[in-house]
Amino acid sequence: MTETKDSLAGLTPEEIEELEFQKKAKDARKEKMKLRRPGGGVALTPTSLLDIMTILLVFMLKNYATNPMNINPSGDLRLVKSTDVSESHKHLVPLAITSKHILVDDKPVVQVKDGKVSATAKREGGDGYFITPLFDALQATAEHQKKLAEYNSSVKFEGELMIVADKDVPFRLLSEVLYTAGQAEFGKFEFAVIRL
Amino acid sequence: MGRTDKYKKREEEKEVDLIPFMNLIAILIPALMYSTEFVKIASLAVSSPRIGPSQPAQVDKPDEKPPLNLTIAISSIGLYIASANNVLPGSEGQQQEQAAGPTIPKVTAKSYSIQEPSGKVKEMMRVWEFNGKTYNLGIKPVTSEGISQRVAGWKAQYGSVQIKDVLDHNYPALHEKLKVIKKAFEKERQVIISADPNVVFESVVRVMDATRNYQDEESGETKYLFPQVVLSAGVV
Repeated sequence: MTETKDSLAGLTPEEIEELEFQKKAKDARKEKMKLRRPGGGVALTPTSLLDIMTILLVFMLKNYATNPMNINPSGDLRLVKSTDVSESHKHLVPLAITSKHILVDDKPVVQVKDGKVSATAKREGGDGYFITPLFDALQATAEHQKKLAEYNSSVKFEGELMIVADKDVPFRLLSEVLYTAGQAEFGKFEFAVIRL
Repeated sequence: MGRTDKYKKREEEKEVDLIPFMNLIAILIPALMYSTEFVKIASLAVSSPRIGPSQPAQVDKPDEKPPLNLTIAISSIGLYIASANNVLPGSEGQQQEQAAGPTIPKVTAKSYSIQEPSGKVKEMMRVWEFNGKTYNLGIKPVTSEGISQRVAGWKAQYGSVQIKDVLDHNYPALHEKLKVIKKAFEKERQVIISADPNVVFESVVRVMDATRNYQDEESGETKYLFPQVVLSAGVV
């Protein structure tokens, strides 16, 4: 007590009162902490954690996908890198050609083996271009989009598809897919690539 | 003075409850992580050939040159460049020779690959040399320092980098040739790309990259080459 008295020398009574109040408040807080943790653990300071979280949040918001397309490259679907291309901002139906499947809107439609669709899935057999299950799926998509366009004037059916193809897809399979899409009223295509 | 004192005292007693805020952040972060794009996806516009009458704009102007119909065919031995209606610059008098082989035969490119921890070999980069310059991704110029820097990075990460010679299409040569063609046919913007059945998608994209833009040497501007791509399934 004498020590405190010494250090308090030269202070106005108001200031002493203020300091004493602060000390009391601190003690009270310590008591409260002790009450909260009967085990007497280390007091958790969330401030630094909060800082990390806030920084992470800002970073994530900055990287937030402005692109409406969500394409996840994987082992079967290795996208091609390309230079000097603009980012796409359209939302199109994705048609993925992986090394194992052809997918329309993320739903597998036909199996692919060694870069080929089996002859039974094609209307004209092995040499044909028309992939029947793919046509059915695309036609259903086209119908759906047209119906949407009927009720919502901001939606327009333009017959565009986003082709997400693996880099080793042979041109033959690609042209079969494009031909089939053409038959289902999709005539414009965008090839998805990784922008460098 | 008295009033501020009172205010201070009240502040002292209050403890900010951060838990709801932390809850909010803990939920927001996974949600944002889910929708974050770690790879930037871009798209290349392509159309398939239209069946029907030709566009009226081409019929109305009889004094203009007939449409170029520039066609690039990708085969397993090289690239063929042809035009249905015009003789392309640089190919006059060579018709006989060209009938035998591709316009631009394949060349050897350097392939840099690494072995992933799973044992899979993955190609990281392919480099072309043309006219004393080196190119990455077909037509992107790179410096030798840039290459060695990347190789050092991969060596640090994967242990070793294998360098192999591979036979690939000569995209830089295609790019140069198209620049010459563009000078003769400035208004043309369309190119028809076709390929052999077993040509991979990557080659098609590389050709599309080579046909899209070019850097004007005098002004340094990026100018269009033949950005309108029509994909044709026709086999040459």
